Amino acid sequence: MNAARSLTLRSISKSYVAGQNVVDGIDLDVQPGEFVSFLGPSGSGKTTTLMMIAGFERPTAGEIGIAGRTIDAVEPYDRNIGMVFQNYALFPHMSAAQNVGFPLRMRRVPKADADRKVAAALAMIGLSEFAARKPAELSGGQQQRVALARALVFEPDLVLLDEPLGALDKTLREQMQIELKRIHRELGVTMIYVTHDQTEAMAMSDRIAVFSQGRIEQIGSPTEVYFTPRTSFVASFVGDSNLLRGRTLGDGVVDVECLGTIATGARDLPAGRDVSILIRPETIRIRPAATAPSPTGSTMRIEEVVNYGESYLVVGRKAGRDLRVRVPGIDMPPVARGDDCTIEWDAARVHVI
Amino acid sequence: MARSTVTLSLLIAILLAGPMFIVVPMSFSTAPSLQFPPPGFWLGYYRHFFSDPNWTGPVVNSFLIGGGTMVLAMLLGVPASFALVRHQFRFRALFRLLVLMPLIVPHIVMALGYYSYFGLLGLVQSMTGVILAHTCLSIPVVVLTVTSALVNFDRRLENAAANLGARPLTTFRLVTFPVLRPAFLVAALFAFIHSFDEAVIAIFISGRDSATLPRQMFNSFQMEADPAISAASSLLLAAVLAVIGMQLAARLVRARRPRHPA
Amino acid sequence: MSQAPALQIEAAPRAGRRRLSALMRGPFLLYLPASLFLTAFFLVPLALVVWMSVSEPTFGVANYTAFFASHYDLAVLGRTFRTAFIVTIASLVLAYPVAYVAARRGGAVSAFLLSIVALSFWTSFLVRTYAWMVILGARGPVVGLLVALGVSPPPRLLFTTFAATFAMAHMLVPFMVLALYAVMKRIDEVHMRAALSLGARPLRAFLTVYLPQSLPGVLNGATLVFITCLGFYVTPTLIGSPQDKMIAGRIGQEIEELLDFGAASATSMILLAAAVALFVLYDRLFGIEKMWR
Repeated sequence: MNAARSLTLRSISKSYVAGQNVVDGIDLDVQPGEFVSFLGPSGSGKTTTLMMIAGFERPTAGEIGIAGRTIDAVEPYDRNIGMVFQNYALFPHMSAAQNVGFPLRMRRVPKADADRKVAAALAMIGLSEFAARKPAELSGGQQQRVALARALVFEPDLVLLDEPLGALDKTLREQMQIELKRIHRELGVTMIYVTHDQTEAMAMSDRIAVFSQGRIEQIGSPTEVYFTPRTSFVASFVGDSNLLRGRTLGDGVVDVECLGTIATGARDLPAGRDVSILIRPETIRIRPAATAPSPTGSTMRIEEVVNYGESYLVVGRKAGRDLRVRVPGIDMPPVARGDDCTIEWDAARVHVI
Repeated sequence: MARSTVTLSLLIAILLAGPMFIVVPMSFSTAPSLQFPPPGFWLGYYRHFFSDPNWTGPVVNSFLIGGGTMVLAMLLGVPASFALVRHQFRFRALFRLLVLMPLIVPHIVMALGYYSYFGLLGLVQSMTGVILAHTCLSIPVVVLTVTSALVNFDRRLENAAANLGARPLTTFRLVTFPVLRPAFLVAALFAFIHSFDEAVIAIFISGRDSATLPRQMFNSFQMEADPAISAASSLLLAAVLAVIGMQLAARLVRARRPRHPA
Repeated sequence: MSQAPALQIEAAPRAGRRRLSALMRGPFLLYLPASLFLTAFFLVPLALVVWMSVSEPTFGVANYTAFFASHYDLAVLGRTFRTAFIVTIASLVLAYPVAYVAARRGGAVSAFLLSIVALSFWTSFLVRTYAWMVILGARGPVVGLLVALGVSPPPRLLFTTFAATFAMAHMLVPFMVLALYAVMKRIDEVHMRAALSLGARPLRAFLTVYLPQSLPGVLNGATLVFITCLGFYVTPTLIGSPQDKMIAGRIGQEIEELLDFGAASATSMILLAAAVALFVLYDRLFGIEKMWR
């Protein structure tokens, strides 16, 4: 492992009022070149943690290290970390080129070199002709790209991004996500990305750290976090879910509310445990007409059918609970509101938390 | 919006501005007293205004006093604004009250106070005295303007500068000050004008050598209705028109610059 | 990789503050100069006035009792309040339509209105008083018009309380407009449209939706204009009636003609008390910051 550019957080905590931890014991190892997202709802501590890495907040406890050195005592202007702020924070009185050149100026890079790097950075984000424009003369998407170029031009070891795409509309946001991935790939720089949008985190990250109430509930690849969430919170926050409470009966069989006894792939779980069952809506199939319940199936009465074009969301009711099913548009069976239908799934796809 | 409302507002506006312009033809009038319409036209009063030291002296004084007040009020008021907006300290509420008090106390009361006080200090009828008094009056103006700008200032710009490697003083020099500069200029201008136009205190405490333009105008009103007043008034009116005209022009120019695409 | 155990770092102020350059060790260097200056050159002279009111020419509250026993002085006080009240109402009536149109119309009309208001606002009181001196003078256009209409002998307009009131109202309209405009600009257009869509006719919508929301601006402006008018010196002295003075003119008279500093101080204190009382009332109800923003 190249320790030269790794980031470590050890038992990081932060409180503003004694006894109330906004960030509560965060442990994290980020490998060089990784794209890690901090995902969570507002108030979960993800932005505060980011601010501590940047140096704008001091941890109440714990250590932050880059390349093996603790940086707690290092001022923000000496940390050599790139940062893209939520509202871009472009200097309004400087042109795009001057903004991008600012960090080079701070590092006393000779003018000729600086000009070259600024030109290259602007070219990388496709805004070479806009070099002389002030931020007020640029669109939101263009400003965001300038902010990114400014954070990258001095080749930092680490780039922090604080919900940078929040102010953009949907199409632009998706474009920028692809752009960011491309830049990440080309430059190989470590990136930490804060967002509350789980689709965004899924699309862009090598690993996702799911935050809740100041703690990291799970860190893992998007696949791990999506298909094998470790807590109910992660299960419900990332992606659409059907979460049911139940009790293990041994050998992978669980007695869950609403569906009765079902089979799961978790054969080594002892009996008598209280667990949560996760069945992702897209893993459920619908068949018209009701049949008898089975370990991998049930029935429900359809309450709503929502057509999203490429998929359908079918919300049904069984034993007082709502169940959600997603069906690809082309596979939609002929069912409608008020029908009773059969739902089926694979035992292997049922995840036990 | 109803046509009649708009017309009404325009009418009132014209009634508001109209009367002021009467000073212009008066300044060209040949009549020695307040006669309108003027019987004839000449430039005599302008010539009188620009050549009589009784008038040119006060004009110079007003500029000097205004300039002194502006500098002093800015030097005192800008740090005070930063203290009020960005820091917590024990006497903050009291300090804010102190800074705003000159706006509450009627000038005539302060005139009496200064008249006695400067008498004790030996500063009566001196430029210094007027500058000191005017500075007190201009500090709240500066503070209100600058605190308003500071409150609206995006601290994240300073965070960004720090993150990019700038130390605190560099951040202030390259980011905070340039962004706040328009507000500083406005505050300085307000401070200057507040002093330049101030009449009541100047009437009571500026002497013959340190007389300000407002004092001279006031005395002329009372004593002989010296028609040079009309010349002075027209010039002041023209100055205000010029500044407002420039502002409008600047806004028009800014509107022409390329804006970002929708 | 360091093996140090997790340190218990005490909560420290934001990193950026720790290494502020030696110049700014704490906020006191920022507020101390202004505090000292204002104390020395504002509070002390003010305190001097308070002192003189109870010490000139002898110790005691003689000046105050004399004031409240004097018909003349009480009349001055009453006249001042009455005039300030009339001026406030008049300027409100004139300013409201202007501010309303300027805030809602936009475009060239608003720009024009605001420019006119700015022009009035920035032209000194002396210039505007002079203009009224000409207009209302014995040889001015108003008298000329009245004579042409057959009113003979023409009434005396200058050096009357009427002239002072009229001119002051005219001069304070810009203040009122700006106070109203600041609040009106923040009233969301959407509310009026919602009211109209719900069936209210324009006048009703205005009275029930817009007017109440503009009330803070009305109160701001009214308080500001009223207090300014209370302490107005220049205009009443120049074109007001010399017999029927307002309180600021009375103080001036006590200083310059009567040379009675005790009386002048006491009268000043009474004026100050009125102004402060109004400000305190305003602050209690709305918060003093709202007055100028």
